[in-house]
Amino acid sequence: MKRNIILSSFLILLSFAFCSCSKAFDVDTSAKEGSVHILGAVIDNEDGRPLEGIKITFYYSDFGVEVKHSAYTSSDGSYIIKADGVAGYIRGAVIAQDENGIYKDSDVKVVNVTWQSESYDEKRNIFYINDIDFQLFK
Amino acid sequence: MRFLKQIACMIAVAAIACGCAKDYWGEREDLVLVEGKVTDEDGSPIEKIKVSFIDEASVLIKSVYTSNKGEYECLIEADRFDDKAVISVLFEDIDSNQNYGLFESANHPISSKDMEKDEDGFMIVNLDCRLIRATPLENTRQF
Repeated sequence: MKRNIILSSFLILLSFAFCSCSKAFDVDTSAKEGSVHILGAVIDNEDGRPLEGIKITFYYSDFGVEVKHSAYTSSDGSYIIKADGVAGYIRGAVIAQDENGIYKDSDVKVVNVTWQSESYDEKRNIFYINDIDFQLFK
Repeated sequence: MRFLKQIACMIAVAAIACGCAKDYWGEREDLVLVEGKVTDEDGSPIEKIKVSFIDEASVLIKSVYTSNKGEYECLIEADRFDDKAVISVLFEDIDSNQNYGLFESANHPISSKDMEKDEDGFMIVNLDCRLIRATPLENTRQF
């Protein structure tokens, strides 16, 4: 019994080591530069219907300079922001705003760009941030 | 024998764990990506232009908007392009004089003939649009 537990533990450790071996040879990800894609949807807080034409802004500080990327929700309430030339670890924010003034601005959602984990597509050099969804109040 | 079973089980667990990394583009097999950039006569990008995709029965498929870089993209089901179907792509300035002034609308039809394969083998239609200013630009551009 004890032998089986030791053997199982060893194999689990071996599996993790095998899966993460490629990461061990990664270059310094803090110096990485690539694209960040932020995806999500916006709905009305009361009835849950998707909201079209809501402005979504992703902003962060790049050595003290504020960088902004914005997009608008489509007819199904979804959006995608594609920010190119993002370098290093980024702690940014995303906000949803109705330019028509019917809905209040959303709370700010903080996002982190780490260039690691399964959110990072190494082949395309894109860091994905999914499900940044908003519910807007009138 | 029991030992082999344990190893096989562990290898299976490891394989599942390794396969967890999601291929975000793998979901695009039955879709066509229509993308492009909307600019004015000077080539400057125009933000918040509504881009509507309308089928031959005049039914709206989907509307998207250009970003602050003037870019848009829309995923459309590939079967909508079957049988030489034509989809109308309507570009409209819906915010009047905001975002660099008022522009005239434009309509561009697309069909399967406009499709090409990108480097990953997915179908893509690139449709850029240059809009003509409807009124003279009197106000300073907003940045």
